[in-house]
Amino acid sequence: MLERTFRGLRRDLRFFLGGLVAEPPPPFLVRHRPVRPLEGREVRVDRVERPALDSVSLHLVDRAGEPLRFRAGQFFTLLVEVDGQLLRRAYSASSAPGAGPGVEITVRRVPGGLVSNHLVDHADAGQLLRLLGPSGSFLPPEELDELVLIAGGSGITPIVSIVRDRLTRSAERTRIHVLYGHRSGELAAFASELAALAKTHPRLGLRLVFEQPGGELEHAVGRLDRATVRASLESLGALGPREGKKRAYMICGPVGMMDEVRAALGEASVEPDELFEERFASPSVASVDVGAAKEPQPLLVRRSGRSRALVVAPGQTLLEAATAAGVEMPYSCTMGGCGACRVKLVEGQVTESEPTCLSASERASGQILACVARPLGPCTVEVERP
Amino acid sequence: MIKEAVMGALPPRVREQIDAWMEAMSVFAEIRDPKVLASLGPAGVRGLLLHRGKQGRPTEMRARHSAHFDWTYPSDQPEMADLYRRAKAGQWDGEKDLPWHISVDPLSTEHRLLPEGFFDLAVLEEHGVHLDAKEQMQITHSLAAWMLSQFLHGEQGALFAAAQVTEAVQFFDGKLYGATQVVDEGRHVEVFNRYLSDKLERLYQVNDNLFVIIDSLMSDGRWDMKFLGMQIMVEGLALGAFGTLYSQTREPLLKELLRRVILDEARHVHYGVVALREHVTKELSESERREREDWAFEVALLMRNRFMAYEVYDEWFAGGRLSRAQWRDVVERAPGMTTFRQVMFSRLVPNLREIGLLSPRILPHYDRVGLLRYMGEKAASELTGEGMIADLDRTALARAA
Repeated sequence: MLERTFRGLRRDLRFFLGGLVAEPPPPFLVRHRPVRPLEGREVRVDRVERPALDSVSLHLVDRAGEPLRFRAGQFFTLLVEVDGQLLRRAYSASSAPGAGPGVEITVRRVPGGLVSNHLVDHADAGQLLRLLGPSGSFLPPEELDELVLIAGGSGITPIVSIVRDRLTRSAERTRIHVLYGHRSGELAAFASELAALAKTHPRLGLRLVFEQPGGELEHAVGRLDRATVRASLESLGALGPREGKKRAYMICGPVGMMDEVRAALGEASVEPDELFEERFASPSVASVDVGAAKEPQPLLVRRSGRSRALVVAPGQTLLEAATAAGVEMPYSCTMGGCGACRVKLVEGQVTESEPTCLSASERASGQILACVARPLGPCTVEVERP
Repeated sequence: MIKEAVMGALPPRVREQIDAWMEAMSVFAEIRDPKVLASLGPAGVRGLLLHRGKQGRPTEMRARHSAHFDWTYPSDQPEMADLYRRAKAGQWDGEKDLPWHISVDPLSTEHRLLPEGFFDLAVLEEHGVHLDAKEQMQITHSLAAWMLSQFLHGEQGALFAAAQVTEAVQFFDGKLYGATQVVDEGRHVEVFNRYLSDKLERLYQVNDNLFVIIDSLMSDGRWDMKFLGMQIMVEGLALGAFGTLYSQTREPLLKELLRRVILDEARHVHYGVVALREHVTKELSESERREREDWAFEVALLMRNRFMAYEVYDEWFAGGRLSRAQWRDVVERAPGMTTFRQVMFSRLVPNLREIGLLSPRILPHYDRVGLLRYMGEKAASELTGEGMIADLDRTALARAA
């Protein structure tokens, strides 16, 4: 007691004498923003470029100065406010990893798309946005002799990131073939850049296929249907016998085009393990709350033999409820596109926003995505992965 | 002259410390009523000389009030009962009802936290300090964070004072209303704290003068003094400050936050006026009334003259770049601070009139310090929060035009 009083008096005296005997107290304390993981990191639009008609490339840098690390082929989830509503959309990186402190993402206008129209029309340097990720496993194998990249429409963004990345590796000998289809040359983002790269890099082969003729770039006229894909890949030398070479095919584009490419590659006896696909149709958040419970629901999260009980508020996803309660769960894109938050539904029923990246077999085995799943009643889930 | 010569010869830190002591002494010297000095004095020593709010540790303040129980649960204060109903209907959720997703760039020129002319840079230049464009934005960030930090510290005081007042007040309808105010103040602490942490990423130390007012209120055993201090003076100060910032900021999240807080605060001041009106005019003796009248005047002066943002001075100019006297000149002549004082006293003076603490004997003092011109304004009991917001919006529009 006496000691406490003495210490208090000594402190009072020190503060009374202030600047005469010691450094004055700091005028302010730095407050660190508490971690709210699902809100992502804050990024600033460093500059804006327009690589084609109706497309915009945003160069994003972390506002706190942290480097943005990712691998070529991955995507980020962008949180954008439009008309007072916070919307999430997935956009692939189009820059090469390590090409700068940040990342370039490229957005193409989608008819009626709230976020894409907003960004294409209003994106400007200095804007602040939020970013989650990177996510996704659309990653080319490292050791390859030939890499065949097939893109349709805005599916070019991860492809161009991969091309830019691989061409900067001076020691690498992988031959790269790019087949790129679009409606017209003026809409085809990065087509000119790819054409220029093909001229200066002998190991890059390029075939452009546009539905409309015209423009300065050399291209075939047509759609990326089964026959055109086969003919184009043959002309690039990207089909046929492997002769001991290791080859990978990576496809990104609209669903219809991907079906055609898959069929063409099947006819050419491409093995399933040589095939890598990225479905870039954004997982939707439009179909939320279909039958979701209007009352709070109990949720039991099991992990490594331990259980944690919590409550999911109406409208919340399982992931939101878990992170709000301090329960660590794996996640990345938060919009059903990457599968990082996959958990097993042991008991109960949920409704999920569609589409998600889950395969039919994953669904059949009871897997759900916590980021887009809302409970219909009491639920128990098992977090299976570390 | 000699004093200035001697001071000028001292190292800057010593000079600043001596100035701080002299300023504290002048606060005590200016208090004429010995009862007011006895009430504010100990808190003044703890705040102004010992800087208890800045010692980097929690502060213990001993409460000396009595909890007033009434086992008959009377419902005899219809105006308070009505405020209770309105308060229940006006509750909001600081987490869900504010657009926290808005990113705030404190250095943005588009969504300025404070308007460009809040400080008069010409006055700084007069004192030999030139700030480049970036420094101007940075000091505006500092000043906005300083103001909001003081709001937060004030709200902490209001939270505890509202809880004490709820215990001590004799009106049962007032106790029920008081419970809603405790929740309101808790919410205000939540939202200001979150804004400072998430958006401005800094928290300034509590201003010594604000500490004195809070300390004095918390340790005074008389419930009506707590009421007068917190519901009328501090809430009046808060309404002035919030209103100024609300009408001047271009940052949309802060604007919405302040709009909601102002609606709550308007109820709080209204409650103070209703509770004290009867008590001051009917229950207190003339000498007790006079003591409160003097106390309110001294605190009004303390609020008008002493909120000098020394914490911002310490950050930017201490150590010889500018003297404390020069800084006082900069703050006193800052157009933003002038507006703040106007808005604050236009709210405060009519409320003091309404509760009977502006008798003819004190009017000359208010007149002397230029505060009597607010005498004819409306009191809180004649205003609604929505009306105040509309007034502020009109003022902001007129300024923009």
